[in-house]
Formats: sequence, C-alpha cells, structure tokens
Amino acid sequence: MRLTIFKKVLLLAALPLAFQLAFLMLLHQVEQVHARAGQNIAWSRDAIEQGGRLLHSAVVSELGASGYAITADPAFILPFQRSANESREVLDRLSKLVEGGHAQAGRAREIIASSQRLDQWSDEVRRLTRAGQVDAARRMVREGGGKIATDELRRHIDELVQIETAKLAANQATFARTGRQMNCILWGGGLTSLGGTLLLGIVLARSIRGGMETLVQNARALLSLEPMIPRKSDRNEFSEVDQTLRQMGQALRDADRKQREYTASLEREVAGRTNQLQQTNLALESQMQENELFGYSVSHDLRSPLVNLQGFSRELDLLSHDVMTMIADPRVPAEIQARVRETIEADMTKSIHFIQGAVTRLSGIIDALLRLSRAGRVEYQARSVDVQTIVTRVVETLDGTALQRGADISVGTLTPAYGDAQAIEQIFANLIGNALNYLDAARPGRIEIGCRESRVGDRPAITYYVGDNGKGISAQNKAKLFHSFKRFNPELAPGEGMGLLLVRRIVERHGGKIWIESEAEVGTTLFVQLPGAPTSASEPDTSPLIPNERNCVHGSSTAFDLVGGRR
Amino acid sequence: MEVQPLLILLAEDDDGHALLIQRNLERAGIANQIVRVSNGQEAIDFVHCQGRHATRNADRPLLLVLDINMPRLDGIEVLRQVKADESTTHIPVIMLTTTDDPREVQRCYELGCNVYVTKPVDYDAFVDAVRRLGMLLQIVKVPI
Repeated sequence: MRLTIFKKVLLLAALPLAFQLAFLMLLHQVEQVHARAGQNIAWSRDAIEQGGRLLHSAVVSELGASGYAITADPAFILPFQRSANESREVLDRLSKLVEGGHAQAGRAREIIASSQRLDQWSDEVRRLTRAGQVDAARRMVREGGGKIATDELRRHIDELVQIETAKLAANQATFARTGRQMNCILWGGGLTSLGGTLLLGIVLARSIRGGMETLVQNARALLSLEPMIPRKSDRNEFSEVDQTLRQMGQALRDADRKQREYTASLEREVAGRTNQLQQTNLALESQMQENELFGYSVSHDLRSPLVNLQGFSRELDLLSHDVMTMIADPRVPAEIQARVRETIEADMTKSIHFIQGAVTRLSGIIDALLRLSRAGRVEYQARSVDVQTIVTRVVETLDGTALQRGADISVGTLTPAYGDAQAIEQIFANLIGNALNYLDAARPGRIEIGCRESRVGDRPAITYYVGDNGKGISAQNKAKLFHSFKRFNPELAPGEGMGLLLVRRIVERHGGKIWIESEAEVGTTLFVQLPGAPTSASEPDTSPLIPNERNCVHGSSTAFDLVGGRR
Repeated sequence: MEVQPLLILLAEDDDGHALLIQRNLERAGIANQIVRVSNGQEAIDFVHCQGRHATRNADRPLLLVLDINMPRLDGIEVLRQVKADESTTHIPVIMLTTTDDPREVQRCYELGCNVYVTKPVDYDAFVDAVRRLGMLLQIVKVPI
C-alpha cells in the first residue's frame, strides 16, 4: 500500500466521517418518510373526526329544520345554530384542501356541495316557517329534500372516512417501520465508524512503528557505517527520511572511502619516501662499508712493507751491535775503533731509532684504521646489555691509571641498554680512558658516570654520560672532535686520535647518538644515547661483512696459545 | 727405519719477510733445513715432487709455512689443495701472514690449517712470533 503517513491520518479521520455522513443522509431520508407518515396519520385522523363532526352537524341541521317546520317551535333552531358554526369551520378546512389540490380534493368539493345544498334547503325551510308559510315549509320537509342532501353528504363522508382509514393503517405501518430503520441506522453508523477508526488506527500505528524501527536501525547503521536494512517498497514520510538517511550514509561512506584513499595514498607516499630514505641510507652504509673495506685492505697492504722496515731496521740495530763487538777486537786500531763506535752510536743508532719511531707510529695508525674498519663490519649480537657490570669492569681495569693520576671515579646506577656487549664495552673503555688521559694536573680529578632514561619516538632510550673536570675542549675544537687523527693534547697520552671516531661509529651502528658538552679548563661531559629496547627501528645494524667473527681465533698470541706457547 | 729430519718449506713472496723469518728461526734455535719458494704454485710443485722439484727427496717429512698473499696460487689455495689431497693431508701447515682479517683466519682453520700466525709489525712481537713458531716446530710430532 503506497500511502504517506499524512494520507493515512487523513484517511483515519475522513473515513469514519464519510461513514457518518452516509448514515446521516440515510437517516435523513428515512426520517423524512417517517415524518410524512406521521403527518399523514394525523391528517387522516383529523379528516375522519371532521367528517364525523360534519355529518353530525348535517343531521342536527336537517332534524332542527324539520322539527321547526313541523312545530314552529324556535327551540329546534338552537342546536342547529351551534352545529352550523361547527360545520362552517370544517367546511373552511375542506376548502383549503380543495385549494391545495389534495388527493381528496374532489371528494371534498362534493362534500362541500352537498353541505351547501343541505344548508340552502334548511335555510329555505326556516325562512318559510318564520314567515308563517308553515304549509309550504311542511311540504318541503315531506318532499324529503333535506334527507336526500343529508344522505348524499353521508355517503361522501363515509367514502372519505373509508379511504382515510385505509391510508391511516398504511401510514401507521410506514411510521413504525421507519422508526425501527432509524434506530438501526443510528446504531450501525456509530458502531461502523467506531470500528473503522479503531482498525485504521491499528494499521496506522503498525505502519508508523515499522517505519520508525527501520529508521532507528538505519540511523544506528549510519553511525557505525554498517550496511543498512534493504529498502522497503513503501512510499511515505518514513521512506523519505529513510531515503535521506541512506543518502547521508552513502555520502558518509563516500567521504570515509575518500579519506581512506587519501590516507592510503599518504601512507604510500610516506612509505615511498621512507623507502627512498632507506635506499639512501643503505647506499650510504654500503659506501661507508666500502670505505672501511678499502681502509682495511690498504692497511693490510701497508703492513707488509712495514714489517720489512721494522724488521730490517732492527736487523741493522742488531748488526751494529755485532759490528761494535767486532770492533772491540784489540787488533783493530784504537783510532778506528773510536770512529766506528762514534758513527754507529751517534749517527746510525739515531737514524735507526727515527726509522723505528716512524714505523711504530705508522703501524699504530694502520692498526687504528683496522680497528675502525672492523667496528663498522663486525657482526653485532644485539641483546639487553648490563651496562653497570661493563662499566664496573672497565673502571677496574683503569684503576691503576686512575690511582696514578689521583683521580676519583664515581659510577651511578646504570640502566641496561640494548645492543652488542663488546661494542658497548669499547665505548666506555674509550670514554673513561679519554677522561682519565685529559684530566687537569692542577686539580684533583673527578670522573662521574651515570645515565638518564628518555624516549625517542615510541622506544625507550638511555643517555649515558661520562663527565670529568679535566682540561676541557675549546669551542672551535669541538667540531673536529669526532674526526680522524685529531689529537688536541698529544703530549698527554699516546694514541692515534681514532678513539672518538670509533665510539661514534659504534654508537651510530646502534642507532644512537653521541654529543659533547665541554668548557675549556672546566671539564668535559660526553653523552651517548643508546636504545633501551629492541624495536624494528632501533635494531642495531647487525648486517655483517664478516660472518661469525666472534667465533674466530685471530691475532698471533691466541693462535700460539692454542699450542701451549708462552711469551 | 731412520727418522728423517723435518724439512720446512717456506712459501713467501716477500724476500724481506722470508729473510727475516729465516734469520729469526735460526736465532730461535731451529736448525732444520728451510726451503723457500716465492709463490704458491712452486709450493705445490715441491709438495708433489714435480716441476723444478721433481728430484727432491720425497721421503723427508714436510712442514709448510705459508704466506697468504702470493702470486699465481695464494696461500689459502695451497692449503686447500694440500688438505684436500689424501696423500698430503697429514702435512702440518702454518699460515704466517700479515692478514688478520677474521674471515681469512676462519677460512684457513676451516680448510684445515694447524696454526694461524699473524706477522706483527712490531719487530719484537714479530721475533716473538717466529720464536714461538720455532718452539712449535720443536714440539710438533710429524708422523713418519
């Protein structure tokens, strides 16, 4: 049924009204018949009664006139005068019927005519009697003119009464029937309109409730962007609201889809950029590893001639001792002995020492380069590292130096880091070693090691610091601090200037950061930030160029120790 | 059966290194005969008594001291061939080289080298290493 709610409500109001109207019209018709029947009944009764009265007057008038003529007694005239008034009244009514064209008009005209004839006769009789012509009056009575007129009148009235009686019965039956009909119409109409209203009300309520339920469910579906209940074929206000809801839902879904697409494209773009960045990082990393590999092979190639340089300069040293021994022979003249000894001790030995010093220095640099290249290539075994234990161990090994320099080292509580234990130990060995090496002799040295926890993005990070009250570093030197072979106080300690570079490389491979705060003549604090937990981002670079280095035996001493050699 | 004295085959392309090794072995009291070859192919020829070394006494027990970086065949290849051949796999091999690359060390041990020695630049350490080599040679028992 395709009806709007408005139409339904209209129907609900109009249908009972229409019923009631129809019933009223019916009732009106029946009531008219009923009323007409009532009128007819009254008229028939009146007609019958008036007929009786007229007949009575006529008889009285005929008898009075006859009696007066015979007896000449005026007492007979009295009832006649009374009835004459009555009959005049009745005749007036009949005249009206005649004028109104009533069904009985013809009969009424005849009645009037008969009555007039009787009146003429009776008037004539009374006039003759009064005038003393009694015989003439009596003759008229004997001739029976009055009786004939009266009989005629009676016959007409009887006919009238007979007809009216029949009509009265018929009208009474109609009256009773229409009365019953009116009752029925009233009851039926009332009940029908009541029932119709109830029925329509129920239908309407049901349709509204159904529509409302669909609407509510669809509104909820809209809220959660779920698919809506399939559309029903109804076409009403609910379906319009529902339609609007559906359009809203569609619009929302479209917007949601667009947003998703946008987000996805954004994510794609970010992923693309990230990928590019990773590619660049990989390229950089591989470049760095190439550099380190280059450094590694160059260092090795440099070592071979160094072995010769060192070896043969030492040979020369030994040989010069041999020459000295040979010269000591008493057969050699003392003057030659002195000259040779002077040449060897002064010039040759000095030259050899210069060569050896240079070789030692070169060798140190090459070893440092090798260490650095190894720091970049060694495979990391990432796990949670107990930094406290590591630092304690490092400090213990440096105890001798600390004592020698009169330095006080205090170690705070150190949170574990996530990374490679050996690499982290290298970091602290370098930093604490540096702090010790560059203390200021003018004041008692203090070195403090501690840490604080923070977060980088969504992962925990630990920032360790090694602070000292040493010589400090000037602002312009700070920038060069992490460069190769930079040494600001070479006289204070031996080294190749590779320590901090090594530390930086290790820290970078852990995905961490290193920075420095320093003031000349006040002290230096080095900060190293390392990851506190493994995440994909903070996973230290474990890509090895050299697999399983940890499992290898390397270095001459270790190799010899295997077979029980001793130094 | 007479026990033949151990012959040391030194494969080293650097003349200086070879000389230093020989001198220091002698100083360390190693009196065994040392034969020096300067590339890997010659070392293989010597082991198999072929080419220039076809006439050598094949009965003498051998010990190989191999450098890694050599022309023609490198030390690692010599090691591989010696250890892969059943007739020569018993020969003890000492790798003596400037390379301390852990990959190389690992590879040499995997191929069956008995000892890996790095030539230190520091002369004292070098002498020490050669001296240890000498002691090692004294205690190595060579099957006859």
